[in-house]
Amino acid sequence: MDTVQKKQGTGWIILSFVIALMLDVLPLPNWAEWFRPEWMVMVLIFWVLVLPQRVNVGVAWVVGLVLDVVNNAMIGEHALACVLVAYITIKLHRRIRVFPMSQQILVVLGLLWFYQLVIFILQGVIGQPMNYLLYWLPSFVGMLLWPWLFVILRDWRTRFAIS
Amino acid sequence: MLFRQGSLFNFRFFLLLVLSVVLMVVDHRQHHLDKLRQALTTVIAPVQYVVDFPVDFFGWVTTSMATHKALVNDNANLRADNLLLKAQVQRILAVEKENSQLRALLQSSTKAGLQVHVARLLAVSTDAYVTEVVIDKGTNDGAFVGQPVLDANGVMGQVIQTSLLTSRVMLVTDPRSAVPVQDDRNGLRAIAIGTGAHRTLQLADITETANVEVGDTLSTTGLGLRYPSGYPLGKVVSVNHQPGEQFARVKVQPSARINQSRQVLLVSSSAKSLVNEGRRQVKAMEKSHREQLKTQRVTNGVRGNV
Repeated sequence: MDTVQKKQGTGWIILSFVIALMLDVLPLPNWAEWFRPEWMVMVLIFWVLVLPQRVNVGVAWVVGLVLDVVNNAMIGEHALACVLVAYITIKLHRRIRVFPMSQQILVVLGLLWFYQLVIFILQGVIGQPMNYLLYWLPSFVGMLLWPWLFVILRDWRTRFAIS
Repeated sequence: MLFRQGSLFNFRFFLLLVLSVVLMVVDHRQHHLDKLRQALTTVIAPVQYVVDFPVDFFGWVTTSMATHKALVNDNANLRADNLLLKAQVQRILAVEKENSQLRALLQSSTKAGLQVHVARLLAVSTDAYVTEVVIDKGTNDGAFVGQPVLDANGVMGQVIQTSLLTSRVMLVTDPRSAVPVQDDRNGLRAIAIGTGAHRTLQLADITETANVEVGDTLSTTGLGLRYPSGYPLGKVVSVNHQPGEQFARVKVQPSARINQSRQVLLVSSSAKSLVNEGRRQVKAMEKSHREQLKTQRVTNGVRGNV
């Protein structure tokens, strides 16, 4: 049993989420808005992958609530999507961890795409559909940025000894 | 460890799922969660201020690094502008006086003066359909939901959500926004609806025969009991008559500089006075409408006799 493992670096995990939130609300020129990846969700996926016993559906739910408020969406909308993504990631985390990067980014694309799909469906249900093809672009941008984000966060984790 | 606690984990997952759905339904159906949203928004406000800081800071740096010559130039320009505006105000004061006298003759009281507060946009963007902005005035400064927001050139939008330190403004270009307007040239009333696209609104239900021309300016009527009357909304940029369709497509460009303004005005006339003003206008219009009908009937009658 690995219960002896200490919980360290909670503050650093929170800080990484805050930085992701800042990237999410950072003002961009109009054309670039379409390319903005879902930073919070990507950081969430990373922490769920490497520390599933600490960062799991509960954290995902809180992250989702924050996203709801930032996007002025229905409360619970992004929370639901984040919880679902975190759940799938936890179920698959042992397999994803041993994947080479080329396969890993495809899994991440799938997760991000699924996240957007949930939001898309919920928006459709309440009658404010996102009928733009460009709506799906952030998933692909997220996929392309994933290797860099992964390396940066892995360094972040070892530097601050987060476990 | 994870797999040993599998059932507990699954239970938590389903609990959170159900909780999310319940929250969504409650939030969408009723508005019981406004307090929760307000609290969460207040918690996140510091992040928004931090993100805004560099933009604000660079603005400050460029102003303080401006050369002496540029400042002198600016100053001269501003003085000239000020003189011009003062001259215009003189004229407007005279017109306003005359207007109030005419209103007195018509036995309706004069328009209540509007109080305005200056607010600053926070450089925070939330989504790609930029039809909402965040401003740096919250309930602390007296902002309230439904408060009209103007900029120097015209109507910009209304406050749709407040927190302690910030508020969210829905722009007139948002598809959910509808502004009752009036053609300044001939008094034709219409409703300007946002399209979600940049700098474009549409007039709803304009019949093919309605007298709307490119270049007409539109201003608010105050009939929605939300925006004060008499502020410019925009200019008609295209009128598209489609054969076989009942209504013309009229595109309007907002006169407010929707994505350039950094300073906006929050209008805080009391909601009551706005409502009263609106009621008065509705009554006056009903009256004129009735008279119109009467005269029409009379002319029809005449025609019938002939």
